Amino acid sequence: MGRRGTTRRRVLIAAGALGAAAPLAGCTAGSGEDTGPSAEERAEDTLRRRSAAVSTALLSRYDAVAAAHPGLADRLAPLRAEAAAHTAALGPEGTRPPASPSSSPSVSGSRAPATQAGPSGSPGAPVPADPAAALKDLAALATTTADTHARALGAAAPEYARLLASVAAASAAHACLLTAAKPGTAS
Amino acid sequence: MTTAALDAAQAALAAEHAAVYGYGVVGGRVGQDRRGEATAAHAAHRARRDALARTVRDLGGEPAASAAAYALPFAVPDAAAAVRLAARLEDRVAGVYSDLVRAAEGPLRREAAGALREAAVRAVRWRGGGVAFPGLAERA
Repeated sequence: MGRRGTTRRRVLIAAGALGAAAPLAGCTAGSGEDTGPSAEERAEDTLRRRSAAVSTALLSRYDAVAAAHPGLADRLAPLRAEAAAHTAALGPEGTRPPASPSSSPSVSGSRAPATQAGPSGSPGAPVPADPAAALKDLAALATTTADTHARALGAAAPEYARLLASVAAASAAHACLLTAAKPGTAS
Repeated sequence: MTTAALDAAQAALAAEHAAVYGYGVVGGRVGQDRRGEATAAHAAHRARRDALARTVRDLGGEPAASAAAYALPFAVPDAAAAVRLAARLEDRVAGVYSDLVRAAEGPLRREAAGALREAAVRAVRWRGGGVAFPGLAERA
């Protein structure tokens, strides 16, 4: 084997790394550079940032609703705490599977994602004045969050897909809890 | 990938067999007010069980058979215990589906994620509250 054809060689090396690390289905993002993290790592970082932003938008909405309706704060607190845990786990600094052979830890020192970047729903819209309407609104955003994570998991690495599926399930459960009639709430 | 997916699908099938059995117990003990919910969940798990048996066959395996009886995690003498059992059954099912999400790709992965979501929603309905990471025992 000669040392010519560096481009092809790089591709082969990248393919080898892909086989060793977690394979990422449908990874077609262009890979021109030959330094820094691999295309797969960059793709996972991008997905992590995007997914964290989706859950961060829901988290911000919990805060906005609790601020506008202090009477709901107690009821929302456990759900808000779960949303915060989701955001932390999903982000680039979130826990990764223990066996990740070729990831260089120092490369991506990325910060927490921007606060509101929800793809749909209305995280930035004003909170409805009626508490019941505010809860319904929050439930709708939780459902949107679940759907967005569910769509994203198809292209994710196996362990991250598992996390996304769990967060999607939890978000759907939030929607259910937010709309369920609670004996304690007078409305 | 296929072996892992097959193993995970078999594990999910076994859990659905157990859930179908368990909901038989739930249905017999649960209060009148929640009987409809138990019946619907029982039917949903039967449907998932049958779908998983087909999946296992598609993956080249022989679907795991159900056991004649299953040990319940605790005694179920009354309606309150029946509700606790139902929630527990959903937790277990959620756990195997999260593993199937990891092991599978494409439509099977999406289906497993959908089943995990349904189980998590049913679990909070039974329990009145949830967990941050349904199906992820290591984060419980």
